[in-house]
Amino acid sequence: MSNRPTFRWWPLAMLGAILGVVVLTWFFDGLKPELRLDMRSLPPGAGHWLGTDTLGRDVWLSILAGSQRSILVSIGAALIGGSIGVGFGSVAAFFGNDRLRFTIRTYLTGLLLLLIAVYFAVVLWPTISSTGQVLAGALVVLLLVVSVVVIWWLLKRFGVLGDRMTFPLDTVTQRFIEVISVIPRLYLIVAFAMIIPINMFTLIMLFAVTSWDVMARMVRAEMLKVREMTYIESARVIGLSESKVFFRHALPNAIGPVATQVCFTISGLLIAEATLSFIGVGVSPETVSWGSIIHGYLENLQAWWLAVFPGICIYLTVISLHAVGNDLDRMYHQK
Amino acid sequence: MLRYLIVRLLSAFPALLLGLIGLFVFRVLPSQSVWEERIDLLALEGGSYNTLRIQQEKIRIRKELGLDLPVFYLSLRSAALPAALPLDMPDVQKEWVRSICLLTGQPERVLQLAAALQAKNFSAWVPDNTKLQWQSVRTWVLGNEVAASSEILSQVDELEASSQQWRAYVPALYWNGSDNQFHLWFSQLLHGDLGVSWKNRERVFEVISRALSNTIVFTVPAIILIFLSAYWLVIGMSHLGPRTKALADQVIYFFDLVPLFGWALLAMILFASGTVFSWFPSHISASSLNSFSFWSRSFWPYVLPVGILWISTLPYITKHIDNAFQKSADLPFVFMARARGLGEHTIKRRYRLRYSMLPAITLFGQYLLAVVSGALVVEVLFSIQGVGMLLTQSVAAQDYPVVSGIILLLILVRMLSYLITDLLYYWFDPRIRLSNQ
Repeated sequence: MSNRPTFRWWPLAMLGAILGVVVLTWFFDGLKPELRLDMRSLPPGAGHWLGTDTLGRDVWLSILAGSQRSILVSIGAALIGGSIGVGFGSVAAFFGNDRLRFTIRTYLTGLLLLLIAVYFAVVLWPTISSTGQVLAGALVVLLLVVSVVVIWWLLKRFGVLGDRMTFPLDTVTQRFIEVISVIPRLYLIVAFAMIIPINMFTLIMLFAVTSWDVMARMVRAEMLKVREMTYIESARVIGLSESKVFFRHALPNAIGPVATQVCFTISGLLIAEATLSFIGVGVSPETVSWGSIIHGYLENLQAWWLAVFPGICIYLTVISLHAVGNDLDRMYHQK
Repeated sequence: MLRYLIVRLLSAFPALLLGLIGLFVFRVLPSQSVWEERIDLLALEGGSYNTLRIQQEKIRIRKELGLDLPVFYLSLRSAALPAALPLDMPDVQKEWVRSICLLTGQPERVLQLAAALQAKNFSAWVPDNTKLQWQSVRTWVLGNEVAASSEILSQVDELEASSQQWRAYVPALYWNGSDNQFHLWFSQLLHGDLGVSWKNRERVFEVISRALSNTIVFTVPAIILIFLSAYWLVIGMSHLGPRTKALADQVIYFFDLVPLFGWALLAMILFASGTVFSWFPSHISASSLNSFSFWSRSFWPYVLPVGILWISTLPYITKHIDNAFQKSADLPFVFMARARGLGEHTIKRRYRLRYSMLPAITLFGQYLLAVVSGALVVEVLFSIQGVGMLLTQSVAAQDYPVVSGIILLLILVRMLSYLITDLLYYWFDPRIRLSNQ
């Protein structure tokens, strides 16, 4: 009873408080820091307990408002990236290189759908944007998709091209993971800042796309163990379909460590977001995040309060996330 | 051995190829909007404010950068669009011609009409509304005294009569031959030519190698220091009692969670900015000096950057080596060594530590990339003109050739580090060596 692992209270309290601040600033506009050009770069003191930045904004209020961007970006990206990782990793390991078999007509249909996508992106999209004929374009795509589905149904009906071919899913996924992890995330996003505007949405997408590989590797390793278990075999033997075996029996047993990894990913992305804002990528005067406050320190190396207080916030959040992650890990392994 | 090496090299090839394709896609993706801005800026650099001169300058720059060529061997587009518009046509007119083409599906005739309009008066022919609907084309031509001539009106009539709007939805595949952007870019790359910086027309290779020498100066000492001190720390920690060991583990855990920029800011505030002390310079300006002579003259400015990299990476590496070291305590080969009567000290150094350096090899491969990429944060904070700093500056200036050169460098070094990691494993781990024979 006494050695049953539980959550420690302080990380949960800290994370709860931070989430509370995020929600609070979302609903109350009064908490936005305002520009006060007569109060620039004031050190901590009465009235501004944590000082002001180079534009006269109160650092305390900036920290409250900045939590929104910092927390939402990292949580959003971790959840999206985590889902991608769990999806790819589990499916790749479960089906491996030899268990996923499609009929040739399915491959053909996939190829045709891909061609339609290319047609839409390269041929139709520029047309639509210049003439505004969205409906006509949608109609064309819909017609094409429907006709491909009809072709597939006809082929199936008459049993044409019904031979099965295996799809080397595991190899494809692993190559994909390798390619994703070739360039360090920070450098990739800095380079992307050249061709797309970095805002909250694009940042979440870039983070998600560059951070799913760790999760995929982990879930893949877990699933490789699970798929050899006897209960999977017996589920197959009693005649359950592959998808049922996967969703009912394999996946729930393979995603135990995911919660821990999500905590670690969020903390890693929090640091990545802060680092990017710190070096000035995606920073604009309107957006404020913990990293962008620290960015102000680069302009005035005497204003230590711009670096110290947001830095402490980041560190405390990171510690709490890791503590929760470790608690989750312990609970998973001792259950 | 050689076979192992070749197999490894070949297995790295697909990733390299994909990386190169990614780089090229990265270049052609924004060709409409982002590079146009850059071209505008370059055109204005000449100092001329004459619209016509700027127009000609833009054409010249576009030619120089190869942006006037088709992107790839094959191009796919709507059958209603013309292959290429005349280079000297102003952007507003291009937009107009495009939308009329999409409305009529007759690219050749629209181009003829455009040429006829241009022949009338080049500068006056600027349509006021780029998104003209077909019905208003005739009214516009009639209302414009330059355009309104019987010859042009008859062309408009013909165009309207032969209008085939459905052609906008028909895809058409064209073969461009070897005179395309990809071919040029790739053949230059194969010759080792990374091109010329769009910012100051310097050779990209020289720009990057200069930055690289500024980075290596502080990353190489840092990496060497990190691995040496991790080695000694693990040995040192093995002498500790259980209580102090637990404390040391806690310290390492909490140090490991401090991000790199946390250490960098801390060091800056404490030792360089003058808030507490100002023992070290806060700016390490790039001088025209050869960085190695700079290094030999004074290493004082680099103490902080090296120290920051050291303290931010050391906990992580120590943790990993120590983990492997702890796990090695009851392994059969250690048991065997004890049974042979070897002293605990020898077992630690010669057997257990050697075994626990294996995960360090993987880590070393990872940090090899950091040697080249430098620590972006440290470079930005101390204004070191290294690779990371060059990347941020080139991105801000939209200097595509330099950015792609840096990314290519990172890809190559990553491949190299995989290879080196494999070789080190081959060297250190007899199990791999034996399983390959």
